[in-house]
Amino acid sequence: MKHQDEMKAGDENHARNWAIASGTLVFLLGALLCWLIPERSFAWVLAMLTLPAAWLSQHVLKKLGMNVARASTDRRTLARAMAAAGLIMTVSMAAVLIQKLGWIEAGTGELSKRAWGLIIGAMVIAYANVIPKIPGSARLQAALRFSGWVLVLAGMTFSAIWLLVPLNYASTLATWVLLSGLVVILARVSWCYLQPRSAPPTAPG
Amino acid sequence: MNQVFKALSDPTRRRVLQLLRKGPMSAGALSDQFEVSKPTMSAHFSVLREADLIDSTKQGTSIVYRLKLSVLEDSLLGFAQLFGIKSHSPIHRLEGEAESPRKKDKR
Repeated sequence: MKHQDEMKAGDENHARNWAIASGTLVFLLGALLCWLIPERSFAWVLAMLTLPAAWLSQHVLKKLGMNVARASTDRRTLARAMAAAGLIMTVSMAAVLIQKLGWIEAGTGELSKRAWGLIIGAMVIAYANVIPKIPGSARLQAALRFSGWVLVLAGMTFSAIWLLVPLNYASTLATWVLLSGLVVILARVSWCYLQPRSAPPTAPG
Repeated sequence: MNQVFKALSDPTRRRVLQLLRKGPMSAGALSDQFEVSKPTMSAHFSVLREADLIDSTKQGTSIVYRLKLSVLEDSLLGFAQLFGIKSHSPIHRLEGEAESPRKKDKR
């Protein structure tokens, strides 16, 4: 029990460190972009303040006596969400910065559009990966396992399309891939639930 | 993640996960599938539970286990099965000790 508590505390610290690191990175990138592209300062300042504001608001809500992230698992989930948000902002701001500095030759906004496509694909993969972990009946779990696999593959294809296909076709093609994945899942889940339930196994003897 | 690799490195634990693919099973029904003692199986179950690969619920007097694999863990299990990865954990030594009296009995 003590070992499990120590592990939970370790996970929480780990997630918090990631959240702080990604928040710092967003802040530095935002400051740099404010200097390089001052006409879009509002957007950069907004990005810089998002994570500190989220962090501050949960502390204020806690001080006001609201039940926010009191349990260790809740705090860990919150820190992980902040780290993920920071990562998304870091990638898209880094894409803008790379384009501004001329390190990669790309059309106006092409790199940031592709970066966004990659981020959305990665988010689909990350969420689909844990879908089969949701507890439920044997039938539901079989459906969830299938859904998880289909969405992970769809997310990987989505990212690959945004990375490789010309920008004119990427959006349409990537959307169709995700929609097809959802249709396949819907068909499989419906088929699974329309099947008659098998009789429970009887005890021998 | 380290715990997941540790859990998947053992053939017995991988076989448990394969059996649970068909649906939830009780601890007794799972143990009956292996020629190892109940304490050894219990140790295997606890390693799998700590790695968050299985979930247990108490139903009456028996414990029912169900699969709790993410897509990544599922694919890691597939790779481990494919390449037959083996570890030499303390449970293996326990397994050897538990198996030897049975083997002696059979002779």
